[in-house]
Amino acid sequence: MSFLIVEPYLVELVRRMDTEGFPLIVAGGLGLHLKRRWVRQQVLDHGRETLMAIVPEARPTKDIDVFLRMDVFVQGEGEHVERFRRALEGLSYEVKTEFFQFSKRDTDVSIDLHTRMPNQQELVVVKCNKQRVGRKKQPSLKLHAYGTPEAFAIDDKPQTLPLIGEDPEGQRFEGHVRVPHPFAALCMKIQAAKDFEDLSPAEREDEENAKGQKHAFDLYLLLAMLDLQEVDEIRELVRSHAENPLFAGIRTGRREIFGVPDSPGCRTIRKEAQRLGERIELERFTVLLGELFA
Amino acid sequence: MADLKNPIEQELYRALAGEGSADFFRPVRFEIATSEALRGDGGFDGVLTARWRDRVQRFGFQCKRTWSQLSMQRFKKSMEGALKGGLLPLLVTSYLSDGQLDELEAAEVSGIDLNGNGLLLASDLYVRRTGAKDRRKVDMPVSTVYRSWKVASLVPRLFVAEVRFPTVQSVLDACHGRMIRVNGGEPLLHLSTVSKALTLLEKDLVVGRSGRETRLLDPERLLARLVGAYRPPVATARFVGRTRLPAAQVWETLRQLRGVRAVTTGRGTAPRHTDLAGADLLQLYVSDAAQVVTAVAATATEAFPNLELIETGEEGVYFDARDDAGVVWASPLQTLLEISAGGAREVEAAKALRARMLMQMQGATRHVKE
Repeated sequence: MSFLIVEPYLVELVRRMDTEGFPLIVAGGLGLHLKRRWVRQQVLDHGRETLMAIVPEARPTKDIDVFLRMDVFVQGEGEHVERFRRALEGLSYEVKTEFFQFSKRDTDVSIDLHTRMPNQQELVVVKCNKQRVGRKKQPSLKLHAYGTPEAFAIDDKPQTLPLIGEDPEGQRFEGHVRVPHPFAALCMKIQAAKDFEDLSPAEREDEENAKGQKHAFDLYLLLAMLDLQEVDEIRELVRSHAENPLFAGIRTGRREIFGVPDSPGCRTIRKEAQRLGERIELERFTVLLGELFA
Repeated sequence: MADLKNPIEQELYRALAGEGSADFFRPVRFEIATSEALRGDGGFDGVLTARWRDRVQRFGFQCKRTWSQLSMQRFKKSMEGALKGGLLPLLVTSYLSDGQLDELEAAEVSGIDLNGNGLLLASDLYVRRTGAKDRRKVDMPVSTVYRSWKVASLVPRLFVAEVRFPTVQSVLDACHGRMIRVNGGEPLLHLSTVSKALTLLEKDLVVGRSGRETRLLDPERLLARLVGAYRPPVATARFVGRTRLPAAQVWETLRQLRGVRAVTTGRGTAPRHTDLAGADLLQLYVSDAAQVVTAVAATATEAFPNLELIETGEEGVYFDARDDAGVVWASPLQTLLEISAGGAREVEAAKALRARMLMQMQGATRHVKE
């Protein structure tokens, strides 16, 4: 089984937040890595059938991207926000970017906090300023999260995967970690890939922006790992979000950048696959993604 | 989609599906529009798109084994409604002589034959192609009788299962007995075809004739010829998708469908005759895919499909099929033909199956001699 350098820090974070009653959803590269590892085990132990015969490897990462439930901001008078911040402080996390990015002292580990966009009811107590979501009346210890419109389905059927490992002090942990349902993850990746493809060629060359080309390949990986049950669940979630204008935008984005094997997003996947030495089936990928998101 | 009962139509599909399709009516390229909506309801059998450089013309075609001035005029009249939609009438037949092309031109009806002759007429297009000989009149090479897409190939196929027949009629009867017929329809195989096929098999020393009796002489050559002349059937429609019905219920539903032939493909049947593993997918040849899709409430999907339908009118795939507890399996020969053309593992399995079939056939041949 493969482990990441960041994994002990994930173990201590999940353990602490579970104890505090803050169920986190681990997204981004780390969530993808955890899912890929679990799928490999499922294939070995239970003969899991994946949508693609060949499933690429997930890239390593050192960032922890987590989604907070909106309850943290909405419920109570701010005591949840304070408790969350104290829990982070207890794990030696300091504010890196006010107040949604935290870095762990004496390490290069950082946590990015995300959340879906608040609905009308939630906007009574929550404000949203330039995608920064937080309580209107913040307690002394403030907390924000990066509002992510394309994460509209983040609370739908998150998947629970086993998490077994040691924290940075070597203390063993056997528990679970939650990752987004593939539907939510696919929506987020389509948007992230589209944001990258919308950049001008010069902007894409920029070192920071160039990292964005990983999203298209992540999308391929997410699709490749699906099993029949997940495919059926995706169909169900597609139906339930059919009227959602945010989902309509995702569908349009899918058509624009992953419609055919020669579309911009597919070209990015091909480039990444060549760089990583992975075998891919782009024709099948476009057909399957098109079918699921039609 | 309707069953392609007309052999001319089957030949046309085959000519336009293979690698040589670009040469079929060079420099014009033909494509058959496979949309179900385009078939059968306007006095024509289907729609053929002709392309030459940037010019595109769509024709509503009708396949005819024989035709006359009267049938041509009727066809032209039946196409009047379709003309408004930009479709022009096109007759497809086995052979068009120069004189017949003149007649078509005078009647302003386009026509092509299966030899490459023809006439295409449109407001901005005139193509006339002549000079190709009628293949039916050219001395038929012996190998044609083994071609899997020809109905005559049922005769050599029959000798894989039975090795001696007292008369030509008994060969025909045995063939009919092993064909899947629906709605009591007239089988496509006739005595004259059987007689010609037997003559070719005799010339090839595969069978021997003594008086009225015909016997299998060379099982090895027979199998080799059939395997060598095998081509996958031309599909007039394909469906890949999922049904919620379990396989047994799919077969139960198929049994109740009137007018539809269905058989497991040779590859799908392979686990019964070889050590090849079965697929999760139910892979069937059917004569009407649309009807089957509706009946089993299947939805098209590329994601974890459990049903694949290959719609074909070719008789060979249905010939000598075996019904076992409601499931219709392809004949061992059809399995052999398909896996012989497969990947390395399949070819390996085909060798073992072929050896076993040969042993049985040789045993039966010896028994008849004694």
